[in-house]
Amino acid sequence: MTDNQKCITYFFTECRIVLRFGHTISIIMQHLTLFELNELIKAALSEKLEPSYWVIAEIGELRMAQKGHCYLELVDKVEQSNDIVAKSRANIWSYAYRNISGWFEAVTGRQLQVGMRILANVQVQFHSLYGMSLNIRDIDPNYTLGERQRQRQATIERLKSDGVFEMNKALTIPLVPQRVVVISSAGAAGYGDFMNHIEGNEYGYQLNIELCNSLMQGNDAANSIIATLHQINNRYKNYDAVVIIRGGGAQVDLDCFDNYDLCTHLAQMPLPVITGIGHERDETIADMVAHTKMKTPTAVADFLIGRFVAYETKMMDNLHFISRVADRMIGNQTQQLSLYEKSIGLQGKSKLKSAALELENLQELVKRSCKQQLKDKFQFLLHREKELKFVDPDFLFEKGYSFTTINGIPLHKARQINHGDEMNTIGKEFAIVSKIIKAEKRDE
Amino acid sequence: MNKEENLDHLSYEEAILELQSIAEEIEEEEISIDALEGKVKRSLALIRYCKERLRGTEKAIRDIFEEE
Repeated sequence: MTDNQKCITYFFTECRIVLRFGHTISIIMQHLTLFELNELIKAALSEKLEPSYWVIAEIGELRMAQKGHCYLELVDKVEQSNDIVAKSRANIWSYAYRNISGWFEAVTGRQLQVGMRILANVQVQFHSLYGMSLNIRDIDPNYTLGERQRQRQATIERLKSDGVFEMNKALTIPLVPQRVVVISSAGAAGYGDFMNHIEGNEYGYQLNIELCNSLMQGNDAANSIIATLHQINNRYKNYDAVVIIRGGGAQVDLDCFDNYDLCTHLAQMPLPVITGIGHERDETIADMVAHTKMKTPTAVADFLIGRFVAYETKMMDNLHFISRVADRMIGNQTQQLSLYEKSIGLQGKSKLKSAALELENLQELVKRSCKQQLKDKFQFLLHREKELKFVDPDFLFEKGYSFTTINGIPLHKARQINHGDEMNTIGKEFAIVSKIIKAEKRDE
Repeated sequence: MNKEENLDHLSYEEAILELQSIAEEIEEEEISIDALEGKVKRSLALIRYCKERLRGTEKAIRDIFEEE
């Protein structure tokens, strides 16, 4: 409002005066100081309102101040949107804050933070200087827990009905996941541990790890991770798997991993996703939709190395098997050959032996035969000789026989012998010539 | 060696499938002694190739040469 335009509205039970444009109409009326007005308001509130109310609201802002007091801004939004329909300042005094926040953390596992919907027991305060604010005297953590659970369940149901809940699990991780893209925060301890386990693996296996840096906690984490998933998606053929890791810690903020947008992107990745988000308690929805979930970044590293080990072991088993069977086959064949060799050798030898024997026998046979033949022949000759002796005229002459011819014809051949024929007789000593006196045939 | 060049394009899956099939063939004794030598040589080549790939040796060597 400019100086020239002042519009003040007094509210009297009796009369109403409007002053405008510098004209002052002074009427003797009842008036209050601002302070008095505020006191009036304060009294009215005090009278009309209950000492406290249980209120559901969302924490729009939160900060800690000196002495441990907590100052908040509570908002009320239209369901599922960001339209604010109500807003109020609030505070928790330090003595109350210690108890409330401790109990809250114990039940929900998380600290009070912006974005949370809480069920708070508030006392309406009106202060002359600071206006209206709410004093939070208690917060029921079970509401927040229930709210969170409800939201989580709703997200899970939505992912299931979209048909994407099981999509990533349907993929297969290659036998040997050698090319891996990691979504993590570069300086995070989780990433460091992961890389140490991978690079320090005792087998000397080599993995190609590419890091895609992203915020892993806070309000912008979900969007940051989604952007990274997009980048990876554009060149998904360069990789075998996606790994999402972050370090654990006393109290981790895992809200982004229950985020619907993040989870639906994750579920629909064309590569299998392995999570190692490093928490002790519940599963996040990201863990549920991922292909494989491990507890910590080092567990993920061990899982990957384990695939290498399994592969190499299987290869070596096959090789050993082939080697054993081949050895056995060769052994059998060698044995066979050796047997043949022996057998042929033995048979050969025995054949030679029997041939030699046969030869010897033949030799003997021939020898004996010859001897016998010679003997026989000799005997024959000897016999003949003896026989011949008996027809040797000299032998006969010795015995007193003679050879006679009649007219030159040998006696045994003579047909007729007449008186006066000439007869020659040869004997041992004399050759006699005589004349026949008389010859008679001998008839038997 | 011709066979070594073939190995460049083998994936881990293909390598292990081939090795398993060799093992099966040998087990069924469908392989003659003549073919045995070839098969055993092939198995050894597959193993050596996989070991090098698992440990990035092959790639490391290639990188060294590329740097030259």
